[in-house]
Amino acid sequence: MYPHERSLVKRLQNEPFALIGVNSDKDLEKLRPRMEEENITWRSFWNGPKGTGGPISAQWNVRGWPTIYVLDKQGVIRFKNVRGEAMDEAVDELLAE
Amino acid sequence: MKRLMIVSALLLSASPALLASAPAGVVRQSDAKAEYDALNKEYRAARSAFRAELRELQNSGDEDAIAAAQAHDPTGEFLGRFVDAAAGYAGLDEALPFLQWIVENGSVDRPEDGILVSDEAQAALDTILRDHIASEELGSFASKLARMGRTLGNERCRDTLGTIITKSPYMSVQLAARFSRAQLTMGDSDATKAQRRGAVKDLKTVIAESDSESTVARATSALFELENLQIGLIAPDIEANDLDGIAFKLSDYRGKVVVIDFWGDW
Repeated sequence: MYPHERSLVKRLQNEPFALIGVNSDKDLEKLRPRMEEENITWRSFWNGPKGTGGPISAQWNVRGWPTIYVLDKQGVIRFKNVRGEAMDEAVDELLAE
Repeated sequence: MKRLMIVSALLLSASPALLASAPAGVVRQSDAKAEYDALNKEYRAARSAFRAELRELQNSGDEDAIAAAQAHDPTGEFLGRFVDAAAGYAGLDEALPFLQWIVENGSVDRPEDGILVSDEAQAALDTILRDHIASEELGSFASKLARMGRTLGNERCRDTLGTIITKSPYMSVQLAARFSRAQLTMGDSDATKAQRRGAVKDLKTVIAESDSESTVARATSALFELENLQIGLIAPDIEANDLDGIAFKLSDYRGKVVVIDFWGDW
């Protein structure tokens, strides 16, 4: 996942685009060096100390990781669980609107 | 006990295979469970040996050998053994785990060919609905049907759950089937609007009627997804801290195309 997300963020750095994570790691101290290593630069909400049992993923009924939602500029959900090339195409389509 | 004795006498006459394992002429529930566990354990070992063989061949890249090895899948042989075992407990709830195994494992998952349900799986499904509809044990099977759309087909799963909801005398089984039907529909991109409305109704019933706190919580989340997280709806806002402890909102990014990625480093 990381390499694809890195390249998407880099390719669209000058576009009205944001990748927002909801991170479900329990231990942020362990996560920080991993983020350095993997060059994870995008912003994430933290799902809290319960990890995958945290409040955001519970409300959004997330049962599998990763789960993806793509929103247009008006905040409308337009795609769910698109991966890889399909994610790129979805984002490009919405940027062109 | 009297009933058990009569039943076991019937079984003994009907199933020679059972003679060997039935002690003192009494079939206890634990015997059926032990038989099921042993058979299933044997299957899992055979299946994992088969998968290991395939993996090894795939590394070698020998296409002919891979094709030949496909025939070593032990599922077909075990399907027969589970069918025999289920027949040994015919009409008794002890048959249920065997029948469920047949439905779960006896369907061929080959999307390119469409969904293939083996005759054995279809027969087992029919038997469950005919002979075991009044079993209190049917709840766990109902729950599993939510994830069996890929092998059994969504419509067959939905129909089966509909029958369980209508005919089971147990509220707990009915609610498990309702929750399962809602989950099935939520994962079915071809579901009709009416089916989606049905899923909302199913979840509301589960929330209102279930006495399990965790079930109510899961159904509440599922209902939220169904009512708020569908394509075409404005995404609900998220307001929480980022990984540096700084609060922000999803709606801060209005005006941008946003990919929300639920992730974890594991």
